[in-house]
Amino acid sequence: MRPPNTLQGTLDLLVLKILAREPNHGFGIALQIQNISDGLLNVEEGSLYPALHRLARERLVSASWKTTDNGRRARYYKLTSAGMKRLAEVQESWTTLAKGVEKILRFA
Amino acid sequence: MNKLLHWLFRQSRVDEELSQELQSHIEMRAELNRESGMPADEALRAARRRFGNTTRIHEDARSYDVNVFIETIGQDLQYAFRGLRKHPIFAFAAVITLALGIGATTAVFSVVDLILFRDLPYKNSDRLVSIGAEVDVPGAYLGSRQEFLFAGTYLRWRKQQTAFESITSWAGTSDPFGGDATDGCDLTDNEPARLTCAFVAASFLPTFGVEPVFGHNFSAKEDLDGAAAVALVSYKTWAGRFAGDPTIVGRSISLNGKPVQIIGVLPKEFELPTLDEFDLLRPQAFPEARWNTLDSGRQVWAFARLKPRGNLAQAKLEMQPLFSEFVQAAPPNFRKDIKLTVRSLRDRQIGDARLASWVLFGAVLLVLLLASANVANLLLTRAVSRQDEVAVRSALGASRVRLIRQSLTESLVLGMFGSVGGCAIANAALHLFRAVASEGILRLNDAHIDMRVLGFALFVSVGSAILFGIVPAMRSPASEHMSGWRVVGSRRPITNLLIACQIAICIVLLSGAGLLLRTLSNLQRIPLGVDADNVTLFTVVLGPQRYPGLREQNGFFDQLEQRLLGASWASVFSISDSVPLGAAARSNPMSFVQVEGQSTLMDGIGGAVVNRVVTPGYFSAMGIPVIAGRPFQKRDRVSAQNAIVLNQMLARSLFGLQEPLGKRIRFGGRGPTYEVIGVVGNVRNRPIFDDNRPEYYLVRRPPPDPAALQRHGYGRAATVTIRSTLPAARLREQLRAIVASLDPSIPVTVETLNSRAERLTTRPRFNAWLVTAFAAAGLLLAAVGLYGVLSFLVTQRTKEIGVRIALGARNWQVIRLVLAHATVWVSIGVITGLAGSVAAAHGIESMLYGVSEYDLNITSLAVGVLLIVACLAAMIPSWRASRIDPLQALRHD
Repeated sequence: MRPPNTLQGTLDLLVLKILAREPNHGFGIALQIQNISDGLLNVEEGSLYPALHRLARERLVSASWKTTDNGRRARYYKLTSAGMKRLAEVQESWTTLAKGVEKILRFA
Repeated sequence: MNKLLHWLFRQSRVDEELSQELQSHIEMRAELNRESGMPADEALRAARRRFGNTTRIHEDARSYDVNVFIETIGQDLQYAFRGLRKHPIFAFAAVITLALGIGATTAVFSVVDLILFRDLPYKNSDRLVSIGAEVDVPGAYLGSRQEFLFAGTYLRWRKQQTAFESITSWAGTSDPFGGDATDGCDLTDNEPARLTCAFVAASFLPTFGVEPVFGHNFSAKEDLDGAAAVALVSYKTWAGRFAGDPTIVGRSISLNGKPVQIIGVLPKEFELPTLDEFDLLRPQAFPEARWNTLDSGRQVWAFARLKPRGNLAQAKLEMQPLFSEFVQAAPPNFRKDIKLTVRSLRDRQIGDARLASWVLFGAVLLVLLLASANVANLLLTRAVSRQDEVAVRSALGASRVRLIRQSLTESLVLGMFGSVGGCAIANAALHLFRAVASEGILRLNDAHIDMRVLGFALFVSVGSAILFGIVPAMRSPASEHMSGWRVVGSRRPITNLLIACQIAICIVLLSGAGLLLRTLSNLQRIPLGVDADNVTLFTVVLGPQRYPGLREQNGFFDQLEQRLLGASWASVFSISDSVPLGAAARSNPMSFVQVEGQSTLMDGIGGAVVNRVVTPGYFSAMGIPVIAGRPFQKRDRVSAQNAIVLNQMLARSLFGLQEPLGKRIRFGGRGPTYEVIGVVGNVRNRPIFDDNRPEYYLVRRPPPDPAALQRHGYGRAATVTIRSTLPAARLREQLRAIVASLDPSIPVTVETLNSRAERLTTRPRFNAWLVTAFAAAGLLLAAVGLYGVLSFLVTQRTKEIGVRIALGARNWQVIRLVLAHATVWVSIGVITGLAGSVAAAHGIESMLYGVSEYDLNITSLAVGVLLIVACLAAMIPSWRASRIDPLQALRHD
C-alpha cells in the first residue's frame, strides 16, 4: 500500500468522514464540508472529483446513480468497509498530528 | 479485439459518467445561487466559474485509469518541453552529456556490430563453418595459420564426407606475388586492366546460399579442367567497369589474352568468406585426375554447411577418420603439428579481433553509464529544487503515479534530444575512426549509420533515460515535503552511490587505457632491425601475359637493375622479392635447413625460416647491420660457390657458439650447397607480436638451371628499396620514368618504410587511443558529477554552514567539512574501481605486450590522476562554502 500523502490525505479524510455519516453526492459533500467547518474549509471542485474517483478505484467508496430529493440525477458515494477502516486509521494519525502541532504551537 | 472494444467503451463510459456528474454538480450549485437571490444566468455562470476548467477535471479523474496512459502522453510531453525551456542551462548540460555518451556508444556499436553481431550475408549463415588442417608453425604468416587443405584432400573429402550438408572450397585470388603465370587476371580487351579473380568450386555459391542477380552459377561441368572458361562478375565491378550493362550475361571478355564468357552477376551484398576483394569469380577447375592423392595439388580453403540442427562438435567428430587419413599422408616430421580445425565462419573471419571489439564496446558502455549517472544527478538536483512545485501539484490532486510518469517523460524527451545529437556525433566519430585506421580494423570501411544502428541508438537512449529517470522519479516527492517532516540537508544516498560508481568506472577505464597505451609504446619501441628513415619502397608487379615465365620476369628485373645502377639519385638501392615489416615473405620449415656434415636432429617442423632473394645493396639500403663476415658483393652473383647470409638468430640456432662463417648449408637434402659468408642483425617481420624469426638471404644471380630459377628469381613481383634523402615524390617520378621506359603498362606502388612500420601497430594504436579517449571522457564526466553533487550539497547546507561560520568555524574547517563528505564516497569508488580494474586487466591480458596485467605503476597512476581531478572538482564548491556570508545565509527565507 502506498503511504498516504498528507495534504491529499486531508481531503480524503474529510470526504471519508462526511460519507461515514450517510451516502452523498459530490456537491453534497462539498456543501457539508463548507457548512460543518463554518465556512473555514472550502473544497475546490477541481480536486474533489478526482479524489472521489480515486477513492472509488481504491474501493474505499462505491458509487451509484440515484435521484435526489428534488428529482435530479446524481452520483451517490457510499463508504465501503475498507473505507471505514481507512477512515479510522487516517483519523487516528490526523488526531496525533494535530495534537503534536497544537502543543508545539502553544509552546512556541 | 474484444478487449480493445471493451477498453474503448469503458473509457467513454467513464467520461460520460463524469460529465453527467459534473453537470449535475453545476446545476445544484446554480440552484443554490438562485436561492440566495442571484439572477438565473448569473447563477449558472458563477457555478461554472467556480468549477474552473472541467476538461482538467476530466483528465485528472481519468488519469487514474491505467488504460488512458497513452492518451495523456501528449500532455506530459508538452509539460516536459515547457519545463526544459524554462531551465535552458540544465537542459543543455543534460542533452550534451547524453549526446556524447550515446554518440560514442553508437559509433563504436556501428563498428563492432559488423564484427560481432550482424548476420553474415549468406543464407542461414550460422550453419557455415570453415574446415581444414591447422599447422602450428611459429613465425609463419597469419594467412598461412588459417586452416587449409590440399586440393587432393578436398577432392577426396568432397566425395566421402557425410558430416556436412555440403562442402566447398575456394582456391584464393589471383596473386600477383605468386610466380604462377596462370594466376593472372588481366583484362586484355580494348581497355586493359589488372583485375582480381577469385577461384571457387561449382558448389561454392550453393553452399553459401547465394544466387546471382543476373545469369546463373557455373555448373559442375564448367568447373572441370579444360572446360570452356566462364566467370561471374562482382556487383561492384559490374556497376563500375561494365557500367551496369544489363546485357552482360553471355558477353565474352578477354582475360590474359583468352576469351572468357560472363555467365552471371553476383548480388551487391555478396562478399568472399575471407573478405578478400575480387572482380571476377571463376571456376577453380582442378585437374582432378592428376590431383588424386591426399597431398597433391595446391592449397585451398574449405567451407561447409552444417546439416539443419547439426553442430560443430558433432561434425568435427565425424570428420576425424578422414582427417587421420590426411595426417598419415603428411611427412612424418609434420604429423604431430597438424590438427583438425572446424569453426564457425564468423570465428574464422574475426580471429583475434573478437576480444578487442568487446573491449571497445565494453569501454564505451561504461562511458555511457557515466553519462547517464551524471544526468541522473542533474535530475535529482533539479527534483529537489522543484520540491515546492511538485508539492503544490500533488496537493492539487496529482497522483504519485502521474508525477513519476511525468518525470519519466521528461527523461525520455532528454533522451530523444540526446540521441539526435548522439547520431550526429556518432557519424563524425565514425569518420574520425576511418581517418585514423582505415586499414587494419576489420570491416571499418563498411561501417556506417544505418537503420539498425539508429535502432540501437534509440534503444540506448530510451534505456538510459529510464535508467537515469527512474531514480529521481521514485523519490516520493510530495509526501515528505509538504508535511514538514523533511530532514533538512538529507544525505541523498543515491547521489553518493552514483558518485562512487562513477569513480569506480573511471578507475577501470583509466587503468585499462594505461595498459593499452603502455602496450602501444612497447610495440613502437620494438627494435625493427632496420633503419627506416629515408627508405622508400617501390613495388613493381609484372603482367602475366607479357611475363609468363621466370625467364621473362628476370629479364625485366635485370634491365631495371642496370638502369638503376646508372642513376645517380639511386646510389644505395636493392631489388628483392620481399621486404620486412608486413608483406608476406617466402619461408621454409626449419627442418629443411641442414648444415653439411650434420644429420637433421629436428623433430617436427621446427617453425618457419624466412628467406629473401636480394641484390647486393640490400643490407645498406635497409640499414641492417652486418655483424660478422661481409654482405653480398658483385662477385657472389657469378662465383661458382653459392653464398648465403644468415641472420643472428638462424646462425645461433644452427651453429650455437661455433663460428658460422665458411660453413655450408643445404636445403631439404637436395640441390647445391651454400657457403655462409656473413651474419646480419635480426629484422622484425609480421606480426609484430611475434618474436624475431630465423631468416636467411640469397643473392640474386643468373641461374644456371631452371630448377634454381625459383630459388634465385623474384616471380612477377619485386620491391625496389632506395635509401635517399630526396623526397618520396621526386623518387617516385624518377622511378616511374625508368619503369615506363622499360614497359609503360607496369604499375608501381610507393610506400616509405616508416609508414609500413607504422601500419604494423594500427590496431593496437586504434584500441589504445580509443580507450584513452573514453577514459578521458569518463574522467571529465566523473569530475563534473562530483562537482555538481558537492555544489548541491553546499547549497543545501548553506544555512548550517552559515551558522558554523557565525559560531567561529575557520575556513579550513568548512572546507574539510565538504571534502570529508567527498572523501568517503570517492574512497569507496576507488576501492571498487581497483577490484574492477584487476578483473578488466585479466580480461584483456592477451591484448597486452611487455606489460604485466597487474602493473602497479599504471594502477597507481590511474588512481593518482583520478584523485587529482577529483580534488580539483571538489575544491571549487568547498571553497565556495568557506566564503559563505553567515548573515546572508541566515537571512535567506
